[in-house]
Amino acid sequence: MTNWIYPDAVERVEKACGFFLKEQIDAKTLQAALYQSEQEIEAVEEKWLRSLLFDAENKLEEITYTVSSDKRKAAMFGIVQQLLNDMHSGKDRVKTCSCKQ
Amino acid sequence: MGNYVAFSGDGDPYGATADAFAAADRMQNGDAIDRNGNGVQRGSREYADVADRYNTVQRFDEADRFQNADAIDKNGNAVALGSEAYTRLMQRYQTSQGAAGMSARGGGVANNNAPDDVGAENFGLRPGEDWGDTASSSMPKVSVRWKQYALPTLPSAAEISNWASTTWSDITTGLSNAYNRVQAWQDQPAVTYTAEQQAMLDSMGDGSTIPTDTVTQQLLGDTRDQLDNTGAGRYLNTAWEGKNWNDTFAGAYNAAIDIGQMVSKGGLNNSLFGMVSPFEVNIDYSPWQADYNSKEYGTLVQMAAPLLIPGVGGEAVGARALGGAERVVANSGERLLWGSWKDYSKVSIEGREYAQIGDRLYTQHSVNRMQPSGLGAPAGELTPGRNISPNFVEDVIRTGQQTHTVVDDVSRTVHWSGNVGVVTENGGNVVVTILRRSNQ
Repeated sequence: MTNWIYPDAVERVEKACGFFLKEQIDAKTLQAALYQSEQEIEAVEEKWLRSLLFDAENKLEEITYTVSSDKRKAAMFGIVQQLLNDMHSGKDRVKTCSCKQ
Repeated sequence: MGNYVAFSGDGDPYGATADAFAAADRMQNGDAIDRNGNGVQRGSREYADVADRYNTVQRFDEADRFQNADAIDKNGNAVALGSEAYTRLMQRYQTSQGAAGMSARGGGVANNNAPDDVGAENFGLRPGEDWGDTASSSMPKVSVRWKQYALPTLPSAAEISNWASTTWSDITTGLSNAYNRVQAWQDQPAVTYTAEQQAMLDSMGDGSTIPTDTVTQQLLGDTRDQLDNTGAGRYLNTAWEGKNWNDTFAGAYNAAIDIGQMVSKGGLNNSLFGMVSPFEVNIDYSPWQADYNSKEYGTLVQMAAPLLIPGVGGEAVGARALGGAERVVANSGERLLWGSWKDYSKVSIEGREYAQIGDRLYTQHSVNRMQPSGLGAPAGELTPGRNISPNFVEDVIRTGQQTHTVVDDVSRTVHWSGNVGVVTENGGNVVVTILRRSNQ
């Protein structure tokens, strides 16, 4: 189990991503969850996570308005999946590396 | 035994007993005297114990002075409130704070005795004094005015250190840079550039190819590390690492907005506002608009950059983020209102309503997306705005890199400049949404 400085923020992201991938919430709701978690993360150690959430939220916004509806879902799923992967690989990297992020 | 003058209980030194002589001998030959009056030799364990007790007593005495003093002078002595010494101390404190912090009010906030002009001398200004315009045919028209603000609520030192300390150096550095920069402009004869400035001009071009070691980096110096990752500092990377002036602007701009938000969050608007906004800065870009990409424009932006670095820029943008007092921020002539959806006149096209901002139409979503986050989530949105002003959007559309796409048969353009993106349609006439990205 990975220890996060902001476990609630991470849990919110993971849940929202899960719901979105199951198509139980829309992109707007997911964006709100990402934004809320991003705003809660202030620690230097998890700056990288804040950036991930920030970029993912904006990428979803960009896709909403620049990708045709028939390709939108796949594009968004890709972003969400990538976010989840990056979150955990980033955390692992932090755990094994003493270098600054 | 030597010829000692000892003492006895009856006050007759010559009637002293042999014991008294012995005691005097110990005292004069001991490195220290223990509580029983015995001599203790330096270096012994007993000597260390005695010294420790002595130092402890000294510390108690010192602590006692601190706890009972209104102030402590440089010798560690207590100074009483209202005394002449206290006044002198306070003046020195405020002067050093003003000089170190270049903050007209920031230093003096721990007490309520600061006169209104404390720190102003550090800028060579007096309250109400105006540096005036420095317009010429080739220099930007810049006016800087010392502003006075009331401090209805003074924040405690703890409050300041809790939520503003990470930005303090930023604020003060901005002010310091602004002051030095403006001072340099005034000292410089119009039109004539020094060889160094000319070389800088030549190397800068329009600002699109800034070397790694940007002027902004030089200006900010080591404050970046202090600010990085916290509060206003989180956007400072953008300014720091900006490879063109728009990036630099974007970072400074957003950092400035962050400061505005902190002001709001801290609930100390008036106090901090007064502290961070001793200047009113007005830069008129209009003479340069004709040749937007000129070398001179690049130079102008470079000059303006320190003014927009949090501090001076921070207060200006922060004030707008708060819907506060009238401010002027560097802009390209026309100042576009930065408000919420209800603030704009509306235009209906094919059943859809748009806000008219300048020469462009904005969807309600884009207006909401631009709105200062400190105002909370606009109606119909789940999250607050992203702190991008219409002026900034205008700049991104005009100067950003464009990519074109077709979305469900509608042609759209994405303009990116630095970390801000704008999605438009109809040849840039309609703004659809606002995007951001980090530097990661």
